[in-house]
Amino acid sequence: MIELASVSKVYVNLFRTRRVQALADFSVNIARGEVFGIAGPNGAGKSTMLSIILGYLHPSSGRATIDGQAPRHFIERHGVAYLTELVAIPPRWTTESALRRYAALSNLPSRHARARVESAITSLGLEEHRKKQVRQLSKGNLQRLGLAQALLADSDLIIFDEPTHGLDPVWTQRFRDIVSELRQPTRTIIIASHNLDELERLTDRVAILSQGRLQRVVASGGTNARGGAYRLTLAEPVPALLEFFPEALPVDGRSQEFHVEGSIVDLNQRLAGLLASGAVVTSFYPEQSRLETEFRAAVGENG
Amino acid sequence: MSRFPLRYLPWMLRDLLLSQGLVLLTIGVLGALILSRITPAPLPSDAAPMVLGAVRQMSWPFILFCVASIVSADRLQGYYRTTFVRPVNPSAYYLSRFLLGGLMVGLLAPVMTAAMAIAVGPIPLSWSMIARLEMLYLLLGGAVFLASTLTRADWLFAILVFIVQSVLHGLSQNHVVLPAFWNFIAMILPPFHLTSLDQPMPPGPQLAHVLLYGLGFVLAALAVLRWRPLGSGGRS
Repeated sequence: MIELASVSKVYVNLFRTRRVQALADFSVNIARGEVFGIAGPNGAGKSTMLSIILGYLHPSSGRATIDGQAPRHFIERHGVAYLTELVAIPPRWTTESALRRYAALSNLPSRHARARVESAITSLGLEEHRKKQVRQLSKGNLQRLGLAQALLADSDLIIFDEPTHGLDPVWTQRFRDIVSELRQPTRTIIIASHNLDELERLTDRVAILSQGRLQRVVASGGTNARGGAYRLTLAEPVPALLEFFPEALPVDGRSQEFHVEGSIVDLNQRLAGLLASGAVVTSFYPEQSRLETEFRAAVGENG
Repeated sequence: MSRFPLRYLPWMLRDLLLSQGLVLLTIGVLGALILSRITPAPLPSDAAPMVLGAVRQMSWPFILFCVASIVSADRLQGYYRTTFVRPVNPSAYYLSRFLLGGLMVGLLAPVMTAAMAIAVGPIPLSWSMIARLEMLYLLLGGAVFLASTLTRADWLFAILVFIVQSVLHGLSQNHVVLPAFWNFIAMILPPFHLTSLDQPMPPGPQLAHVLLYGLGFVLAALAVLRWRPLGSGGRS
């Protein structure tokens, strides 16, 4: 659905004395039905990439298309759902009027528009804020309003830029549920986020950007299937541990918490043996997700 | 899907009525109050020149109020990012807003006429004044509209162009011989001198000059909106 082919973007000032390379030779294809993540440190080029996909910026070189059309061409015909990183809605509009306006702009017939606005208000928990002006909303409520306006129309392309920024844990979980509900074979969802855990849970693939370059695209489904480093915690120390996990290293000198490594199948077999020996395991979890490992490898520890 | 924001027009009109419309109403009410309650001298029976004077005083500031920052404010505040992900063409959107601004400007003459009528009795509405106001809106408002697609200081740009044009036109009217460069500038600047509300409607060629110039501004603004991306950076 979305194709970026060798896209570069260079920002230059008026006198062309200063150049900032925001994106360099960036190529990626995002298919219909896919939930695609974009990760990267600040200034990596995530927002520039989204602006190019939305047609708000022209690439300095290369080509961006949506369904084979120029982005503005596609958007002006079909519209897209978009949650901006910094939700910008005129501060004097009320929550309800903002949604009604966006429904009108989305060209929804008035009967449907009213129902969609009510549905968005209800599903994003904005009932008690419907008459409040945007400037009176808290950061979390403003973010929910941003989500509500994005979900007014049934778009085939949905773009979320830092969607859980400012949301509390309850609404962060609700957002994850919403993304699951939005998944459709005909729909493409793009999520740009600093939150690797969120990307790992929600997306099929994640593009890792650093300094304007695509470092790698990681399949995030089936995370940790290949194993890696894990943290094993026992209820009490047992001598059998070293029999099954000879490489186990105590974490910070603790006698019940260990760092272990291996493939997921191997680790399962050894864990079964340890449990059969009578050990009581209180937790066993990955020390770093695969995405996190890939991210660190791609952008370095400072990312 | 429509690319013209038809369903959004009532909201645009509502915004204009609640800001520019309220200001216009306030001016009208204040004008009527001042004339009927405060002015001690008996008012002339022919109030048409007073209406003209009031409209002339108000025309420039009100036109700037109706059209200034029409595009640049949306770009500066980032509102465009949420607006133009809908099936709406930015050129069509801002053209609608520009035309509704013209409607508001056209109301200036009836409101001032009504205000005077409250003080001195019935005054016929001058349709010719409304036509000249709209002509001024097309030229001045068009210049601001175009400037707004390029810079935040759109109204300042329009005022500077007006000052330069007025000075050069005044000099040429006084038979001052201008250097070739300034002659050229005088020739290409918008003909604001033809839009004076004090004068009758200019004759055909001059009227065409004003209308085509104003139309040129509007078309240039639409072309900029069509070809120049609205964003200036990743997040902006």
